[in-house]
This record gives sequence, C-alpha cells and structure tokens, in this order.
Amino acid sequence: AERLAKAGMNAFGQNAQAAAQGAEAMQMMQQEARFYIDFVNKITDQCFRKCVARFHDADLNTGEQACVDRCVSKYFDATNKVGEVFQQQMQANASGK
Amino acid sequence: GMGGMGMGAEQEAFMRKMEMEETLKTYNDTVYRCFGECVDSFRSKTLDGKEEACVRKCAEKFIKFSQRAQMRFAEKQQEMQQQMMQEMQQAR
Repeated sequence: AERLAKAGMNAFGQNAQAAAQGAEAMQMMQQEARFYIDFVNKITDQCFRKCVARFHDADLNTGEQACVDRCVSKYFDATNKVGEVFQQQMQANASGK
Repeated sequence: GMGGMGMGAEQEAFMRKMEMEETLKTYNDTVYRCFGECVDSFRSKTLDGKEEACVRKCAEKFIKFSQRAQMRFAEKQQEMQQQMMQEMQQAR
C-alpha cells in the first residue's frame, strides 16, 4: 500500500509538472497573441490616418488602395529597423555601457 | 530591473514575465510612434534613406528616454518605501 501511495504521489508530481509547463506555454502564447493584436491595431491606425482623408465614398479609391499597400509594407520595414536598434541597445546594456 | 526585494523564485519568474511583456509593448509603441513621426509619403514600399535614419534615431532616443525615466521612477519608489518604513517605525 505504501509503494502504491508513493507511486501515486510521483505520478501526481509529474502531472503537476506537466501542467505547470503547459500553463507556462499557454501564457507565452497569450503574450505573443497580445503582441500581434497590438501590432495589427497600430498598423491599421497609422495607415488609416495617413492614407484615408475623405469619406465621399464607402469604397477605397485606387490611390488609397496603393497607399494602404505601401503603408503596411513600410510599417513592416520600420518594425525591422526598430528591432535592430532594440538589439543594439540590449547588447550595449549587456556589455555595461 | 526590480531585483533585490527578497523575492522567491515564483515571484522572480513572474517579474521576468512582466518585464518581457513590457519590452514587447515598448517595442510596438516605439514603432508606432516613430513611424508616425518619420513616414509621411507612400510612393514606394520601403523606407527611403531619410525615413530610415529618422526611424533609427527616433527609436534609439525613445529607448534611452524610457530607460532614464524608469531609473528615476525606481529611485522615487525607493524613496517612498523608505519614507513609509520610517513612518511605521515612528508610529510604534
């Protein structure tokens, strides 16, 4: 009976560990999702602001369409450049500058 | 960071997660802000030289600004904690 109890407790420990790792992965996924949602909202906000000025029509005209396409592309480009600056700054911090 | 407060491993892990979350948020905010300030024309699909230089400078400046503001914030927080502790001891 004692051996069974110990085995039971081991299994419980392993399940708890697996659950904790699952919860950890879940939290990371949530963090990533929040990041992407924020990212998308921000692109939408900036590009709408910069590309759409009037509301005569409900449809986007060709100029606005081209603007949106390029704006999104440029925003991604800017994201990469800022990423590089972040990395440089983190490396500078790590080396104690 | 906010170490040195005598925290357990669980709390430290939580703090690290929060700091990660904060970094991600700052990243998104920085891109948003710097794109807003630096990019106004859309004749092409990529940043031109001037825009790229502007975005980089903006990002670097914003990061340095954030770091400095955070240092002052941490100092103030410590000041307040010390004050509170003093008041608690005097009240005994």
